[in-house]
Amino acid sequence: MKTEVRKICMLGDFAVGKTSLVNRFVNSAFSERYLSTVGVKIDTKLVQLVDRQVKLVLWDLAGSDPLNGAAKSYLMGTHGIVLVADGTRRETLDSALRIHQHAESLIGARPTVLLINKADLEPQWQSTQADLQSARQWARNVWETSAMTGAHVEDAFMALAGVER
Amino acid sequence: MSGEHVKRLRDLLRVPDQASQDELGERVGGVEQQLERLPENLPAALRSADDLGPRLASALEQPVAKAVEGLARNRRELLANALFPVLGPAIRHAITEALRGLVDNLNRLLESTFSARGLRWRMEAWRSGMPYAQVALRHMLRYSVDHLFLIQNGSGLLLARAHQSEPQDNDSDAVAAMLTAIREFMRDSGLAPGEAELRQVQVGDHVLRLYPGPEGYLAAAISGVPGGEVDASLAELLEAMHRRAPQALIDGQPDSELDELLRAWFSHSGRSQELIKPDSRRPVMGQIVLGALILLGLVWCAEWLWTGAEASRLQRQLSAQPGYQAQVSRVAWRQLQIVGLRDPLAAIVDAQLDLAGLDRARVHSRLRPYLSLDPQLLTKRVRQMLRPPDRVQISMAGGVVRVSGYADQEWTTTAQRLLRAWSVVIPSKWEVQLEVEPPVFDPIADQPVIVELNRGAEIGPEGRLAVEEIVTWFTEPAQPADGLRLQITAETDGVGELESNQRLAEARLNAVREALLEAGLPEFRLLPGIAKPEVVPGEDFNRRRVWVDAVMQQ
Repeated sequence: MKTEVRKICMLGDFAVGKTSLVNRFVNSAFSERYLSTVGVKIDTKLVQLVDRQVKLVLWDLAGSDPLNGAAKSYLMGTHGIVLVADGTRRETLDSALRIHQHAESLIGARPTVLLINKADLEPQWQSTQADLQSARQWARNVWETSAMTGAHVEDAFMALAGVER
Repeated sequence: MSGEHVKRLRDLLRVPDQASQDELGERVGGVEQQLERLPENLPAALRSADDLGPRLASALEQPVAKAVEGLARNRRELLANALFPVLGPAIRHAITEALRGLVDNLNRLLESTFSARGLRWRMEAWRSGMPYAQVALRHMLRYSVDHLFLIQNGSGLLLARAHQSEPQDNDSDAVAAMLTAIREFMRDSGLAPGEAELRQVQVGDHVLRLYPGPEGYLAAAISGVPGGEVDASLAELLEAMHRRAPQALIDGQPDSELDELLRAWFSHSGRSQELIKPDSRRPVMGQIVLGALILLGLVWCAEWLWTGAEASRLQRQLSAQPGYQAQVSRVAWRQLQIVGLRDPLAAIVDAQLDLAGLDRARVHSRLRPYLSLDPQLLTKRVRQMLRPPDRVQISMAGGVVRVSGYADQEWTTTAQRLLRAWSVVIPSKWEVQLEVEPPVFDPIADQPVIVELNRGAEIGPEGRLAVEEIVTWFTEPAQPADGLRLQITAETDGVGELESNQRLAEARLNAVREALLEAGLPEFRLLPGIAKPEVVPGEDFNRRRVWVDAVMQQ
C-alpha cells in the first residue's frame, strides 16, 4: 500500500503543550534539545486510514510566535497546521488566531485543527463556549484535548491526516 | 473684420488643402494600427531583417543588457532557475579543468618523493598505467556514500532515498525533515553571509554533503574523504532528476523514476571510482619491462646455479689434490675465486683449471704458500733436496722416511748431512732411515758402470773402485755366463779440436782396458772399445766418463 507523507506544523503560544501533545501522539525520534537548539523538533507518525496509510511528519515549532522569528521558513510545504491553545489561559486562544492568520499570509490556506489543550483542568478554563464557537469559524476542527490523559489527541491528528490533499 | 468674415476666409483658405489633410489623417491612422499590431508582427519582422543583423544587434544591445541587469537585481531566483541547467555543466567543466591542473601539479610534486609508501604507490601506478598523482589521490580520497536522500526544498519531504546498508533508525522522513530544518535555520538565522547556505557538515570521518537544486536537494552521508568527482556526479544526478521528473519535485510526491535514478547512481558510483581510464599503451610497456625483469631474474638464477656448480666441481678437484687448503666461491657474474693455502710443490692452479674445464680468465686466485705434510709432497720435497742418484729410492710410510739404494760415498755423506738438518724441520713423528750402500756391478740390472776419470786419461780413486768391482763380479762367486762380454765406450767433450779429442777418447778407452786387464779380467771378455768425441763444440763434463756395458753374445 502506498504511503502518503504529509508535513504538519504544530503552532501555538508558549507553554500551551505542543510538545507534550506530540509526545503523547508519537514515539519521539529526536531529543527535545533540538527544539531549543534549532527551534524545531521533528517527529513522525504513521497512521492507518480506511483506504490508505499516511505518514505525518510533525514539525514542532518553538516560541510564543515562531512565525515572527527566523524559523518562519519552516512553514514552507506544510500540508496541515495544528494550532494549540491552553484552555486555562484565554489569551492563548487569541494568539492561536493571530498565528493562524500570519501563517495563512505566508503560505495560504491550509487544513487546520485547533486543539484547546489541558482538558484535564477544565474547571480552571478561562475559555468559554462562546470562544470555542467563535474559533470554529476559522478552524476546520476544534478539539478539547489533554496531553496528560490523552483525551482526543489521536482524534485530532487523525482528523488532519484524513483531509484529502 | 467681423468674426463671420474671418470664418468665411478660413474656409476659403482650407479648400485646396482638404485632400492632403485627409491623406495625412489616413497615414496617422495607419501608423497607430501598425503600433497596435507590433507584438504580433515583430517576430516576422525580425526574421526578415537578416541584412540588418549587425545594426539590429547593436541597437538591441543596450536595452537587452539593461533588462538582464534588472532581472539579475530584482528577479534573481528566476534567473538562477533559468540558468540552472546551463550553469551546472559549465561549473563542472571549470572544476574538471581546475582539477586536471591540480592533478598535473601534484603529479610533478609527488614524483620527487621517495617514501616507502610513495614507492609502493609508484609501483601500483606503474603496474596499472595510471598517473602517480591519481593513485596517490585515490588512496587518500577513498570514500563510500552510505546514505543518499532526495528532499524537497522547504517542506523537507523525502522524495527518494538509497542506502549502502539499512540505517539503524529507519525513519528517513524524520531525518530529511530535520536536515531541512537545520538547513533553513542556517539560512534564516543570518549566520551565513548573503545567500550562502549549508553545504557540508563534518562529523569525524563522515561528512554530510548537501547539493541544492531549484525544487529539491540531495543529501549524501559519506564516509572517508570524497574527491571532487563525487560532487560533480551528484550534481549531475540532481540535474537529471529535475529534467526527468520535474513535477514530482514540485508536488513533493515520491516518484518511481526518481527512485530508479537514485538507485542506479548508487549502484554505479556509490564508491570510489577511477578518475581517468588507464592508458592502454602503458600496461603493455609495463608488461614488457616486467617480462624483461623476470627474464633477467631467470638468467641471473641460471648463472648463479651454473657458476655455483662449477665452483663445487673445482672445490672437489682441489680437495683431492695434496698441498691445497683452499675454498672456491662465486664472487660475481661468471667469476670464481680461490682463497686459501697452496704448497709450492702441489700441482699448479692453471693445470687444475684446465682439468676442470674452466677458463683461466674467470678464476681469480688468492693463494698463500705453506708447507704441506702430505706424504706425497714430503717425499717430493726430500727428493728435491737430496737429488738422489738413479739407484737410490726414497719412500715415506708409517712415519718413516726411508732412503735406500746404492750411492757413492760423497753423495751418501752429503745426504746424511742434509737429512740431519731437515729432521729439525719435519714433524717429530717422521723418522729418517738412510740405508745406502756402495754401488755394486750388476750386469743383469743392465746398468752401465761409469768409470770416472780425471782430466786427461788418468783413472781416479772412484774409477779404480769401479774397475775392481767389475773384475770382482767376474772372478768371485758369480760365475758369469760364457757369452758375457764388456763393451767399453770412451767419450770427450766438444772443447778443442776433433782430432785431439779423438786421440783423448782412445787414450781413455785404453786406460780403462789396461786397468781391467791388470786387475785380472780375462781378455776374451772385452769387446773392441768405442772412442767417440763430442762433435758439438762446448764443455760437457759427462763426456769425460768411460762407460762399461755388459753385452751377452751367442
